[in-house]
Amino acid sequence: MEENKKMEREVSRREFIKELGYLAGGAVLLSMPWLKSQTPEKLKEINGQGARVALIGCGSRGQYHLHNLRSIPHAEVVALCDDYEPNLKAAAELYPKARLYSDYRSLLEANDVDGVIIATPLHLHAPMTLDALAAGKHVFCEKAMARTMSECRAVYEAYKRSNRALYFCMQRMYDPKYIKGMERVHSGLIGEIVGLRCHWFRNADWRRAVPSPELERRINWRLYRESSGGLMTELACHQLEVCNWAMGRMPETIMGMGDIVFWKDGREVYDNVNVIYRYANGVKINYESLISNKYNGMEDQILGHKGTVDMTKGIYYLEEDNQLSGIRQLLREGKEKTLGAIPTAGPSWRPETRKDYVPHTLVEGQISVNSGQSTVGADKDGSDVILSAFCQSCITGEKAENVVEEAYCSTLLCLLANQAMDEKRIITFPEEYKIPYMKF
Amino acid sequence: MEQSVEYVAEQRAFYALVPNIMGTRFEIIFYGKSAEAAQSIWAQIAHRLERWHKMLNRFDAESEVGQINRQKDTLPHTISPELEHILSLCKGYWEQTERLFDITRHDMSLIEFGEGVLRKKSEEVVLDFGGFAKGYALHEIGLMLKAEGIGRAIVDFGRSTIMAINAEAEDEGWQISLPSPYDGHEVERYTLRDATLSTSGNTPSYSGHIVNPLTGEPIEQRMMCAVVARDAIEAEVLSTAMMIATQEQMQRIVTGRDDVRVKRYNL
Repeated sequence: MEENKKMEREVSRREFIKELGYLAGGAVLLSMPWLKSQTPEKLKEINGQGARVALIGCGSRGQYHLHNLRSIPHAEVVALCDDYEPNLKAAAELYPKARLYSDYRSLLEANDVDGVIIATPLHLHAPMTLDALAAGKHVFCEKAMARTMSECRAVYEAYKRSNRALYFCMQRMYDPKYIKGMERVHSGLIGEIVGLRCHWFRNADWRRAVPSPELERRINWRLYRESSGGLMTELACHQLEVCNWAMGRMPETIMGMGDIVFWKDGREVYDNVNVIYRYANGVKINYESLISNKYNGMEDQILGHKGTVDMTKGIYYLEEDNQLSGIRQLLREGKEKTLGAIPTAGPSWRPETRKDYVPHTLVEGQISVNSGQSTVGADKDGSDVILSAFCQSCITGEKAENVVEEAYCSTLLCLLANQAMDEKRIITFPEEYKIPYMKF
Repeated sequence: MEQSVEYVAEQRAFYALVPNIMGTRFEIIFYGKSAEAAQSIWAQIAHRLERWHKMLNRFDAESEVGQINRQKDTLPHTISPELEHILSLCKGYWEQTERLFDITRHDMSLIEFGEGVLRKKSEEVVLDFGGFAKGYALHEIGLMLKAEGIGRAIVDFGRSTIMAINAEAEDEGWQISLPSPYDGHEVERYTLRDATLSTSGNTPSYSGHIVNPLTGEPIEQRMMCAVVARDAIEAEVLSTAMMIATQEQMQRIVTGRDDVRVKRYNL
């Protein structure tokens, strides 16, 4: 049964790779160099080999990765680590043969571990990543990169010095609908980019049950500033990366307002944020997130003067759309007999400027759309592919281009937004945190 | 001619879109044919569409009408049999609408035609089939579809003239929503069954394009007119003429046409 599932996933991964091949061939790999390892030739190179990996942080997200690892043929989970016994136990049930650790430092001493997967609270990302790189391990760490900007800088510098592979889970970079969407955006489908609108809405308090009060800050780490950057680092991080990917540059100025509007339960991080990022050419990201109303869900919209792409749904809309149809909808009605009203454009002897837009799909066939409501992770959102790419790197030793840089850029934008909201001022991107990768 | 087609086997439905034809867009769905048969029927329709486009498009100087409009003279010019037929139809509607429908937009008596020849009595006369061509095309396409034994079809020309073919007694037809061009709210919902709905009127961005040929005055009111008629040409012609007609003219013109429903909306 498990083998079957493994095969199934492997097939879907091969399909992902095949699809990438269709995407303008090498051109995509040039503009998205982190996908270079995702070719049939590269996959063949690791045939029969396995990466020996260990998981540090066996909470819900860690277990999500464990499930994905079961479907990666070139991965072998040799060790698990958590200092919270119930989570370690739950993970051990998934991998009964794995060695168990309560201290990640002891795990890092093990010689039979090629790479570690870090899925711990945000404030632990930097120290653990730095220790793991220093111990000669390849590292896959959850986003965001780190809790503070100076930690981000330290991780980035360490990575630059290191010959180990480092990944942060920027899964949209490995999600087919984002890859295809970006390819289309960069090929001019929607014209010049004039705006970016991203939002993430949920209606949930983000709290987890705490068995005894002294565990509150450890289990509900997302709610406290020492361990969390709140909505920005937990949610916006992915979306800001998408904006920079589309723009091919970084915003210069940041302003925003953040408040605790609804969940006044002792938490310290905002439950309601609005942030504006401005690029040098005047294009802005409008970012909005709150967790007391979920009507708007999650969307990453790229607005061009000729059309709009909603990356989360893998759909685009054109401003002037010759495909727009009133009657085409009849084809999609279940039976021949009928249907709702067909709108006419109103009276005119020439084509109308439409109010309605027709959705077009970026990816043929079934795609996986993430509603953004799960606090753990969505299925097939690229997380499985990026984890597989990491395991591949553990075998080949090859680094993935741009992934660390993209994580660095988007994490800094999250942290700067928090600073702008805290200090109630407009912030210019600080010189001391610029890296050669950034274009403004 | 740019076009896209689709066949949905389970519904035996054939769909085609021509995004740019006769100055607007054309869409059709017809039912009940195999993919192969449908494709062949569509090929005939597409061929006719192209021909009408080449014949009636006044924006194309090389079209038959374009050439007539270019020639500033009063000499006789050879015309195609189909154009002559179209001119006869137009003349009939010109008379029936008390001269409100006029392809010269001024005075149709200034042209004479017959036996393959057209002559303008004034050099300045130009022909404009904008308020006629779509209805005529739909009428002809309707005949073609029926001749092929198609009993169910819907054809949209320019999103302002929609023809429904519903031959079966139990076929209830389609619901067509008519939105206001000013704010998009639904002004009326029509059930279209074996008939054509044509709309005419002003929009926020395009008003004054309908001219009263008798006075030369453009119609500028926030107004819309919808006509449902058994025949597509009648629907098309009347929807423009009724934008101009006075209440009394409207009464007189519609009287006796039992299968025609006219409604005007002040928006």
